[in-house]
Amino acid sequence: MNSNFSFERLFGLIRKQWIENSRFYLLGSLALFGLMAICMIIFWVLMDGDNYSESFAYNLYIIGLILTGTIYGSISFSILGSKEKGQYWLSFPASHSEKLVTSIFYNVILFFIVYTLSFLVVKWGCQTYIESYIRTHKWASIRPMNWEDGFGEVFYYIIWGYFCLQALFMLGSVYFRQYAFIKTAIFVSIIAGILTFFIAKISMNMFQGHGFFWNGLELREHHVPDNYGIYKSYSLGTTLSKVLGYLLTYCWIPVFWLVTWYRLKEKEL
Amino acid sequence: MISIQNIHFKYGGKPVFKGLSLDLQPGHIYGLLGKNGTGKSTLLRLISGLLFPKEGKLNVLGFEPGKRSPAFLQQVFLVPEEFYLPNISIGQFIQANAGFYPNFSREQFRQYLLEFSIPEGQHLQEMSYGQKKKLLISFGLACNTPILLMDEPTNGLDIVSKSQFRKVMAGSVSNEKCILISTHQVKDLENLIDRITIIDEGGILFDQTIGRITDRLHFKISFDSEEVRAALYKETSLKGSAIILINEAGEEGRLDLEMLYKAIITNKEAVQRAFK
Repeated sequence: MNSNFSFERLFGLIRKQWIENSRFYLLGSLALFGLMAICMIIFWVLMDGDNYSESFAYNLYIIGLILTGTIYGSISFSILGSKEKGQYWLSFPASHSEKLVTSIFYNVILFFIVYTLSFLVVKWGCQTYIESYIRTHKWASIRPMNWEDGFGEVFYYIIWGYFCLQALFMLGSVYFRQYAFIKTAIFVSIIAGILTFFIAKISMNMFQGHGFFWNGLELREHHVPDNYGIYKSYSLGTTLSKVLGYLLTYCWIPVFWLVTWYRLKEKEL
Repeated sequence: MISIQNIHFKYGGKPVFKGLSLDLQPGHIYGLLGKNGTGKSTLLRLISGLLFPKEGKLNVLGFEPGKRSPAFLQQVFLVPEEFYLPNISIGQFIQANAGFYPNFSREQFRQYLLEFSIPEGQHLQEMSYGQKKKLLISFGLACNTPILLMDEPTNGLDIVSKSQFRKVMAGSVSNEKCILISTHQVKDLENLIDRITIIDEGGILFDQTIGRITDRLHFKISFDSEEVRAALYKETSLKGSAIILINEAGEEGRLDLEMLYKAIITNKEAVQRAFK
């Protein structure tokens, strides 16, 4: 019970968090469900025309997930924004790791499950209505989601990207005492803008004719204008590219959580 | 139990402690006094691990408080001046929190609530500030942590509650426990604390036990003008002059904490000389 991580204490902490915030969680889930129902009815059932597309519902799912998930992530440690609440939280006998895991459990895992379940229930309701509408209106149709192509293919990568983004907003909630969501959003936009600008600037200076494009971590330069099959390849080698590719895809969440953990340890009130 | 050696602390550019050293032992109730902004609350937050010293050593029960390890946190309870309690009932509060303090006693908690006249079934958000404070004090005491830190515990308590507080606190003293109370309301704690520590200008101005203070100083009302002139500190009133003298004859008298505090602030050197 006295080490820095104990499952007994972690479950106790999860239970404590539930006892103290259950009303907020239940009302929040209801509000989320209601909001999702309204958005799906307005934007999918009423505004998607008579040629319905299931992928449109998944588009709404992604937009809502990123928007509400990052807002929710940015309130993960809002308790530290107030001296009284922060003292109550920091001086409670549990380690920073246990407190972080509890926050991840509620703000990342449970939120995602509740959001996805709400979406599936609402989508089922909307789809049932649409199908009955199609039965009575012969000109109407619904195109099912194609998981093999385009949006369907990148769907799981977008979900992964969302988790990275949410981890970053969680970190922002420890860094910024107030307006964490807005400040993190501004910070992310500035960093993304600067990075894009520098990459574009360097590439344009290196390849003056602009005949280049990125293929993952490989840069391809065309030098035969009529034949895109002929190009110069600048790459890091198969193994290094693979390792770097995996790292760039999967390292963000653990890195952001690790920095959050360090920031929690350093937090003074 | 609590060893503070040469600690330095500042908020931004404003220094609060410049080499403060202090040793606190179990079995005592310490009164931490000082003017506004001298760092009383800061010292409590440093001991509880909410702030980290910039320099110096701070050791509490063999732990470095700033690491906030669970083993340390379950042995220290802080009753802050401004505090937060969740929007739940007393029963739920105990259900959520008590399990984390290995020596928590439900029986004691019930007893303290009874002494403070707080109905057990009440919801925390329905309670007044004073009632919430009494609940937090009751919880802190029932946790039976070896170190109990209280920041202005009598602020917001009515007259009856203050005497209930003194009674409850007097009953909770034990040889294993170290209680540190920071306060401005010295009158409220006069018969409770057994050691007084006054901090000023980033260091310890005065640190003595009550026994030694009454040994070295004599508090009395005097009409003798010679005696009044020789006093370390005097206050005139209709009933005569309340004075503090050096207790050369070993007379027994009642300690007036408020007067002592004023004497130390206004005539520091003379009071300190009396203890050399």
